Amino acid sequence: MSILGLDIGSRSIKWVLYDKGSNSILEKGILDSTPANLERIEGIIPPFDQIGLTGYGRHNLNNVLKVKSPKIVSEITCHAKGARYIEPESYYLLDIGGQDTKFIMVDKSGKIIDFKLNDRCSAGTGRYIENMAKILDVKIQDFIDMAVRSEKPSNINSMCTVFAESEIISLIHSREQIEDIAAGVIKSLIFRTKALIGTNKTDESILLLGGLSELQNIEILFERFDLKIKKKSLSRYTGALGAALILVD
Amino acid sequence: MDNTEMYQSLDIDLKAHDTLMGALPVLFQECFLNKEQDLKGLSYFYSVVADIHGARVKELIEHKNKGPVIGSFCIYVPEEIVLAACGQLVGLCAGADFWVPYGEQIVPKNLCPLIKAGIGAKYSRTCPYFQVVDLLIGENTCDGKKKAWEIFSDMVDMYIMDMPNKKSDAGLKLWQEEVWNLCSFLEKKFSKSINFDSLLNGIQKVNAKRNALKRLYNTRKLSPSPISGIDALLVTQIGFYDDIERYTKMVEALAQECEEKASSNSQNKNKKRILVTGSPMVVPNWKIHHVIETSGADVVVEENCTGTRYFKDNVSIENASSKGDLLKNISDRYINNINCACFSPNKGREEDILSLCKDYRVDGIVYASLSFCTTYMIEAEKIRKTAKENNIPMITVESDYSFGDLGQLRTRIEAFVENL
Ligand code: SF4
Ligand code: SF4
Repeated sequence: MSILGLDIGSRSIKWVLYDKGSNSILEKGILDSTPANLERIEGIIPPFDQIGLTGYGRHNLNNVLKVKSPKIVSEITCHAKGARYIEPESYYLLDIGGQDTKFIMVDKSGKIIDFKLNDRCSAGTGRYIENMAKILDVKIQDFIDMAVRSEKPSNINSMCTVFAESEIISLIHSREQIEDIAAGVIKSLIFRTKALIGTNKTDESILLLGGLSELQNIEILFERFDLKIKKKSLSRYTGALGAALILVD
Repeated sequence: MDNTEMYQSLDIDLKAHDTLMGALPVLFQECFLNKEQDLKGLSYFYSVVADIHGARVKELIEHKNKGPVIGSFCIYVPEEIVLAACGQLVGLCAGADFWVPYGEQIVPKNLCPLIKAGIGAKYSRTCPYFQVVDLLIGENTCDGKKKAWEIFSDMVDMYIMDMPNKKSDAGLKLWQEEVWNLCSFLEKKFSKSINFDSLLNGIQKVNAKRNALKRLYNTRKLSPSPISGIDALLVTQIGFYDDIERYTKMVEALAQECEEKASSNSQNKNKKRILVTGSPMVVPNWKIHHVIETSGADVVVEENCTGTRYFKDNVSIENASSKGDLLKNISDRYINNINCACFSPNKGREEDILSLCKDYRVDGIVYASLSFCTTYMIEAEKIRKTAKENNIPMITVESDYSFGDLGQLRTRIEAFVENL
């Protein structure tokens, strides 16, 4: 029996096809959350016996996907479930998504103890980095590589993405090194993340999920600003995987 | 008199008012009419909301022949005394997002939506209740309100009650004086004498209203609760401005129906039971309840001012033989038994929450604070600790009246419920 987990995120749609018999992942895929992709989603995803939906669009996809009785579960529960499959050891999860950032604490049995989400503004999310890279006119991976080379990261103090943009523009005008600005952006993202994590003890390293986890060297930057993270090849797919796994038990 | 004429007599901005009234049916439909509901007694309360700017406003205008109509923003303003002065007390709701942009024309953006909407409602001249009142009674409970009264004073007659910060002897004394002063002020202002009998009468009416609400809330202790949380919230919200005697009767009838329904209901719904606590949720702010109850859980009790804090304890009339005794009992009830976050320390609220969790067999707490409501936002940390020590899961959410964050709220609350 094949189970499809579909994670309809604000920036991208992820799916994982899971085989219940062999307990293995058969296929996975990802595409941008554009209106056109959402419309033709049914033609893209593979055939399945059962489906689990999660992510920002989980309640709204029913009109397009005329499947019978999908299981709808919040992304927090799904991430915890999926993460446990790919990394049974990890107790802290950090999902830096396109629209929000989530920090999830899981106990040894896999049960969620607590979770936190950023507020509605996009500062401190993947979107923030994306926008800032755009202003500096570089690709995201190049942006990260530049940041890694910086010796003295700039200070960006704004709480708000839009204000941070003006701050960056004034840094550019004052001839600050582009590497330093990039590192400053990452620094402010990580400080925001730390504020979100709050007083929770995070001695063990945190498993990074979401789009950021696909970037090379990102962990070096986290380490530099005193947050230990690790990544796994399936980090991007924990939501979709979790949506499928929920139907397994 | 048809409504347009009435609105004109109240100096309402008709065009803006039409826009406001256009938005309410959609929200009401979404929150109340789309769900299953089998209590006949609720139809009265639904009809009150459906005609929110009609019949009741008319009644209040008519009431002006007999006595004043007085607006308030907080449950510390003693209704008993207003009734004793032949007045009608109207809790001004300020729960609509519609008014926020108007308020933001006058006060800073980073204030709680309650204050912004309150000021916006008056400034935009679109709320007949704000227009009909002869006097507003403010209270210095939080900094935002304290300063807002200065702005209201330019638009409407205001009387302000001072509040202690501590429930100490000195605080108690200050409040007793404030209660006494309010009484004298109303007597003078509206040329009504308040005596033992009229006060007693006011106390009995408000006690009866509280008893009726208590009876209704008691039925929510059962599993499954015979009434949905959002409906119970609506009933309490209406208590702030409806005619007190008619309202009391209607709540009693509803409570009786709930008792009967509960006794004939044997099936056990195993939905998770939620306590909501935090800032007040005034009409038409139904957002948090709506999200919780469409995420598969039941709200079974509210520890807030549009919940148990409103009706929890009665004013005692035993052993009172003079007007002074009654006024003292009134001030005692308000100061000792309402555990508002404006007090420091506020241990009583922690105790209230714990005992409610026990009585209503609560599985989890949703701590909902209005954005920028400093006192409740800060107090969340203390409550979180207390809840944790008692193994009660809790989630904190902060939100205003707008709908931009519905998706995120839903994600949080669903995840919270899934993990209970
Ligand atoms: S929260 Fe405090 S200030 Fe606000 S209505 Fe309640 S008692 Fe009054
Ligand atoms: S107590 Fe909170 S909700 Fe009430 S007026 Fe003050 S800030 Fe607003």
